[in-house]
Amino acid sequence: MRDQTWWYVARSGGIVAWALAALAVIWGLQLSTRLVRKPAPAWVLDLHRFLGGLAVVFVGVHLLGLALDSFIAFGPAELFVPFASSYKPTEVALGVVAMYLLVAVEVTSLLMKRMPRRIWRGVHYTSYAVFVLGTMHGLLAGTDGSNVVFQWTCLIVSGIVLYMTLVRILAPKRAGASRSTADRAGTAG
Amino acid sequence: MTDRMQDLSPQGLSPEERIKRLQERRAGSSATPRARRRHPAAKSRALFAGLALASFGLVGASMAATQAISTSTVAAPAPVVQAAAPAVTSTPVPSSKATTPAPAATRSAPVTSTRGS
Repeated sequence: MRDQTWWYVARSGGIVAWALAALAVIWGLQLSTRLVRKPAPAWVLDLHRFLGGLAVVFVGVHLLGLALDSFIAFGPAELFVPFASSYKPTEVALGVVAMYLLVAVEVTSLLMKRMPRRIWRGVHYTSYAVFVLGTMHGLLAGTDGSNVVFQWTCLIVSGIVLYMTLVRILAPKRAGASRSTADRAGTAG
Repeated sequence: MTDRMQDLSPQGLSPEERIKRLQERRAGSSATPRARRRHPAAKSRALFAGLALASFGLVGASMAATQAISTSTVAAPAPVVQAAAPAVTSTPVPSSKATTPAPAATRSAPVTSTRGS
């Protein structure tokens, strides 16, 4: 039991990190699409930022659990270098790339006011890739990929993200109008 | 206003000291609203942080419980297999093979009896 504690920390941290990243993406899409009218943009933006930051924290917990688990023996190379892992190299690499993209999105968001808006937006769009790669990593590399509850959760959340993305793409005027609102809220906050 | 005039009055203050005081005043005036400013979703932040921590613990605990249950159910058939051992040993087996350990004999008793030695 004690030997497996870090293994549970790694798995649980990974699942919570994925859920928080998915929520951050959904909150960001809500900010740009305003599918739900009621919440104020400032509130949505604040929570969107917080969820992204919390996702990074739990990715750290995930990595810590993997590093301290004695059974799988993941070192810095396996944790930070894509395809360095002997265990499912491609599936693990998806998670490594997703982690780097998540960190890039978070860092550029923190430095948003000090960098061109176009670069920030380009990096921010990779959050879609973070969600897709993270979901594939959880389903393919993780022990819980065969868990029916996790599979259904991934399916439902992916459906929500896909629907909101389609709304954003197909309703550009509405998204553009709300984007300016979000930008105003961002510069104010 | 009168305070400001008194602070910035040249009486007894060197230009450097006045500039320093003015900078301190400006820094203080800009820091105060920032310190007072609250996040629009402060309560929701706390709620989501709590939910994330709780789900982290719950998911980990459920994994450990599932593992413990599966381990106990795997360990449970062992007595049944051991109980079947006398039936295996009761089959006509040469006396030289009766010295083999019970678990190995029960797991592969038919195989060893056919393979011989």
